[in-house]
Amino acid sequence: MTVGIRRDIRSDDGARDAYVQGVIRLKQEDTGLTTGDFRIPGFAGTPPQPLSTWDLFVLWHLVAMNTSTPPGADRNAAHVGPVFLPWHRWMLLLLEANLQRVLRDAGFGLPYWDWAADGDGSVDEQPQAPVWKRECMGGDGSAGSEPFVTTGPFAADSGFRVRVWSDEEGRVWAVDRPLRRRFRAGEGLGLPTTADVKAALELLPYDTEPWDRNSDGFRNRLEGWTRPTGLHNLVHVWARGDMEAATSPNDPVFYLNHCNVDRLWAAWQAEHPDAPYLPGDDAPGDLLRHRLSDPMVAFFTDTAATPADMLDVSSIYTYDRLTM
Amino acid sequence: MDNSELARAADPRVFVPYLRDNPPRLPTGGHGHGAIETVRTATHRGHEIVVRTTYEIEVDGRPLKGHLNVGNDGSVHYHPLPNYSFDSALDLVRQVIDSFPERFEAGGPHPADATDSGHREAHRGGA
Ligand SMILES: [Cu+2]
Repeated sequence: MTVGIRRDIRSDDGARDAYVQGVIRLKQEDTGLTTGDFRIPGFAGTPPQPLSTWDLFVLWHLVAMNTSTPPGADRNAAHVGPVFLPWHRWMLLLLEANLQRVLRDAGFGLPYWDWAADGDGSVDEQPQAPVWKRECMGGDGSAGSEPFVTTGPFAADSGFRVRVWSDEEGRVWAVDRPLRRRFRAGEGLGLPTTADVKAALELLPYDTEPWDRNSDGFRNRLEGWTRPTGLHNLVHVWARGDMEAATSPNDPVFYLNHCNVDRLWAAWQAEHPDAPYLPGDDAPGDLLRHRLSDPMVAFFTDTAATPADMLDVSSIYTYDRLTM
Repeated sequence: MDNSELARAADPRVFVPYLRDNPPRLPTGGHGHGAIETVRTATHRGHEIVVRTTYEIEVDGRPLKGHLNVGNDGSVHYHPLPNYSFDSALDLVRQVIDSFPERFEAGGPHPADATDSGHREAHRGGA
């Protein structure tokens, strides 16, 4: 049994290079499926687009996000509720398994980006942090109304193309264009800091009524709904471009952010070993998809993991560091 | 959940045929009308409270129809910008214009101009 070790992409060049290589391979792995198979219309006449394994994860995220729980609620089957952490842990596990396959390395561990370490520095310098270098994720998009990424392995000239995109009304379209980023640093907005992270890690319980973005508790703070916008949400909002739409898993930075979010959950679990996942199975039916043993929204097969399945994953991976 | 289960689910020989047979529904249609209704409920001293709010948003005379929710604290969440919450619907619309600038440029492509006629039939109600 191989237990992968997840490391900080800021300091581990081996994990960084493997992740970049793995992303490129998954992005190039044509599944034979197209946007037409999912009845996704073409934007402004765009013909049906080929979908890679990478692109399918974007669709999975959309499906979960568009499953309101219960119907009409703000809470959905992957966000704005307790299942936020276990659902994304499952998504990361499946992406990691695909990366292990294309890298032919069963021990590969998804890297995380400790964004708080960058957030502790000056706002002006944050866009130059190691994660945005040419050899890592590449940097900000170009100025103007088409902020395409111009540096690094996913730059406009690399052939990395976004195939599905969610618009200003939440409709999904087939597109064929480079990746967009529009960093907020120029507006004086900084990334979350280590102090923000430490304050969140002290919070108990895991989650609480009303089980949404008005909840006290750890999940809601880490997801970032406590205003001003914080932690996970702030990273999306800081990078902007493709990172701020419902199709945010288009940008490889999505997984680095979520791996760090997952690490913070692991740190919280280690710090509060007696604090249970909530809500339990006796919670009312309008919390379907968020209770301990509820099936989460699946995509690649009809086997759905539950939050309970995600609570102890120590036989699959560990983090090199849980201290802040 | 273990490594072998994950490896099985991460095999294209497994997931590609499965998805070909079971393509999930995606939010491809608009909401079809300009009004967005939100409902908040609460109990206070044994009394059931229901607050319904209807939003009709326009930008340059064109309706903006994405799904919106109002939290118990009165803040607004707009599903097409899933990581934001706003103090007011006006702030929300300002951010939509900032985040999708090309969609509000005069003469820029608009989904309504898309040629794919399957678009309307593909509507499944969205979120
Ligand atoms: Cu997400």
